[in-house]
Amino acid sequence: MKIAEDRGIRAASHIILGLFSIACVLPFVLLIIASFTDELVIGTNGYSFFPEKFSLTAYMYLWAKGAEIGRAYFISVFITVVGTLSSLAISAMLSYPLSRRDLPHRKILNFYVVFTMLFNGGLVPTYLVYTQYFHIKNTIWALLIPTLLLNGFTVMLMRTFFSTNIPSALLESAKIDGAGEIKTFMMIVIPMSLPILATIGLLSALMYWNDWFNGLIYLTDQKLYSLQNVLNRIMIDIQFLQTTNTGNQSGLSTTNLPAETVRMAMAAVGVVPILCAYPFFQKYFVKGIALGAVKG
Amino acid sequence: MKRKISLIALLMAILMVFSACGSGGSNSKEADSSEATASTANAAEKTKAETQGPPVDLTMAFLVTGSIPADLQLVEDEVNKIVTPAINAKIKLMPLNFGAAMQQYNLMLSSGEKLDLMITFPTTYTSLVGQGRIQEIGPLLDEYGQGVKDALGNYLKGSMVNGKIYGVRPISEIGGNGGFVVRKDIVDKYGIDLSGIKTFSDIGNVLKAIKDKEPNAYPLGISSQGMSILQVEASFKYDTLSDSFGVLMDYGQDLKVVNYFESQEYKDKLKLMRDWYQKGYIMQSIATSKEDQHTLIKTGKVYSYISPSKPGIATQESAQNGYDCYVQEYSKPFASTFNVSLWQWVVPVSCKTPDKAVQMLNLMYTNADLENLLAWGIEGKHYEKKSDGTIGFPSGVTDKTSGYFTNQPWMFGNEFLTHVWTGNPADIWEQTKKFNESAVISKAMGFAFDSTSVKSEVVALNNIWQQYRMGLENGAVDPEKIYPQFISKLKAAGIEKVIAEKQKQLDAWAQQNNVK
Repeated sequence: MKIAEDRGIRAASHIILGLFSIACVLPFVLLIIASFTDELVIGTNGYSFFPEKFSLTAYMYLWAKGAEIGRAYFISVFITVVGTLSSLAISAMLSYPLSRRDLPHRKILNFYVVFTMLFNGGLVPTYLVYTQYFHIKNTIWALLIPTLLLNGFTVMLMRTFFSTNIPSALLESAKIDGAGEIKTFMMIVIPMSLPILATIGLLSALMYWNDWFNGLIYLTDQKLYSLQNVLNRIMIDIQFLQTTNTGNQSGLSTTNLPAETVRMAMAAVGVVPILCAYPFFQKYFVKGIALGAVKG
Repeated sequence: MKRKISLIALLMAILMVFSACGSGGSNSKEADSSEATASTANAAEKTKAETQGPPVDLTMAFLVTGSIPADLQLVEDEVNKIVTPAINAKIKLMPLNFGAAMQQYNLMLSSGEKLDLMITFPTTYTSLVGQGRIQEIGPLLDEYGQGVKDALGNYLKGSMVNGKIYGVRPISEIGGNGGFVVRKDIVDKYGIDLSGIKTFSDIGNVLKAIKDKEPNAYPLGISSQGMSILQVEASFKYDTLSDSFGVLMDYGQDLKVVNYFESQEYKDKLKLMRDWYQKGYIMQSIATSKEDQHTLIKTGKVYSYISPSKPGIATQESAQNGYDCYVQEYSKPFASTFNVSLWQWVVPVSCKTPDKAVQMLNLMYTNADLENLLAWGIEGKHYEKKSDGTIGFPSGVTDKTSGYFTNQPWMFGNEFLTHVWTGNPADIWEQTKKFNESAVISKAMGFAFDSTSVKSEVVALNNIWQQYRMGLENGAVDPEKIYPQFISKLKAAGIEKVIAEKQKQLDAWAQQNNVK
């Protein structure tokens, strides 16, 4: 009886989860198929899983635009790798001391971090400070630093992980053995924290890879555009041309704009690397979040 | 195992430090070298132009679609070869994307970043004036901008806000007239006569002729995404006084503000649209379709649409539609503040040398070489002259490979000074000048409605109109039933209050400017 019940539940959950996965995967499959569909067929029939005519035009177009797309790809990879590593290092180095109970002014420092999660300066003041005082406009720093480099949420996750999973006895024993703070951190704390590092690393890599907003506001020099910025630029250009009534002066050129299928192809190209990275992080992912979220 | 992991951690840390250093190093090096070249260039210029002082740097923002032109630097250098000797200024071109520019302008203007000349969006000009983000340039135009004033003539008035001039519009066609765009192959195939179209309602005959031959087709499509057919049609004939709630009828020749939605003409046209719709002349999904007119034609869903017309329109529309098209004009050209004050060149408050900026504007409106550089790039590299006097791509260059092809001659000041792109009639600027001269000008030209006192009413009215427009004004719903609802909602939202306020402001304006 009990086994039968279990089976029923299992079957039901399989069906529900299966449907859910299909709902997640299908749009993506449609995206890939659309990128291989003939432009005119999309115009007349709309998107379809079984298009009347396939075409490689979109990918040929991307190939022809190789220099721009290639550079954007390189920049995306660069900021993702460098950004994720720096972000991890800085977050870890901030959250570890915060997790130690013997840190002076711990409460104030904690509040200082939490405060940034709730309030920020707003777009214009932020922009002012970054451009007028730090001069990051039109530099690669613009893609690395604002918003993404350090955020309160990851620090809190890591801090909780450190304080619950690193027994203070271990730290004491390290101290007795003669390790300094830095050595303790590097040799004891970091190796014990791989799950959380992988989790935060993946989150941060995703954020860096997907970010287009920094590029939109801090870059006017398109040589520094990441892949998402190029994609976003194409999208908003098309949106603008469709929604803005340019009156009689509609000499606006649409010739430079890639068509529907090219946009799909670019999205497909943009997703691939992060898809490849995901499986490597996945085994740490669930573990890390669950451990970090438990209150200590 | 532990050692291995700690090694990895160490490696990560080292990598990070290195990569951070690497990027930092290259950056600072770049900055250094650019500074160095800048200082040597400055020094050279100083010795050269000791008497004049060093050239003033001017940053000039304009808009492009697609990626930033690859040869921008070359064009900029050529531009400076003209500009620096003439007005002792050095131009830095800053192309922004249409889509991103609204946000970027906003941030640049509010943070006081260096920006000396920019082209505004049609919708933002008056609000920029209101926010005090752009400078009044009227007096400077008197001093340095004779060329601009000569070129714009009477139309300079369209840029006035509260009697002061804050910007100048690029010169191209002024206003527009009604045009019926229809696929050439269909018209030729069935031998349809377009010359019979003299008014809007005459279009029905042509639509009928197409429908008779092809009963399954819906000949007429949307005019512009998000706009109803009647809305586009109304702009050819009425001065909408910025928002259509209270308009001047009959080409703006009478200064009495009326409720267009209650006029007999509006009611008649609603009936006409309903008639066309029921007979199947109009695309049946018009009220909900999300596609624009060009896509609809391209995919063969419709054969025609209503569009503002101007000289050279057939070439432009054909290129966008992917089919050769005829454009039959059916009304007089009409100009009002609304279609004159579209785009404006303005000088932001952060500009320290507005006199130089205005001198640059003056050059843009008078110097053909400069104008062609900005519009089409460098001769021989980005374009070459053809035998008929027009220009086109040099052999081997296409719109995809050209290093500078913005295709926006209307943006950089005086379009009449630019070369004509191949495919257009060689005398298109002559035609355009004639077109402008023949335009009926609204008496309220130069009047801009300040809606602050009735702001909430205007928002509410816009929402209501938005809700009814696509159904009612495209004939998709029955006007007998829906129209009274629409009118009563407009009244409840205070359309009369808005009209009264408009009339009050217009009367005051007319008295001030001596318009009768």
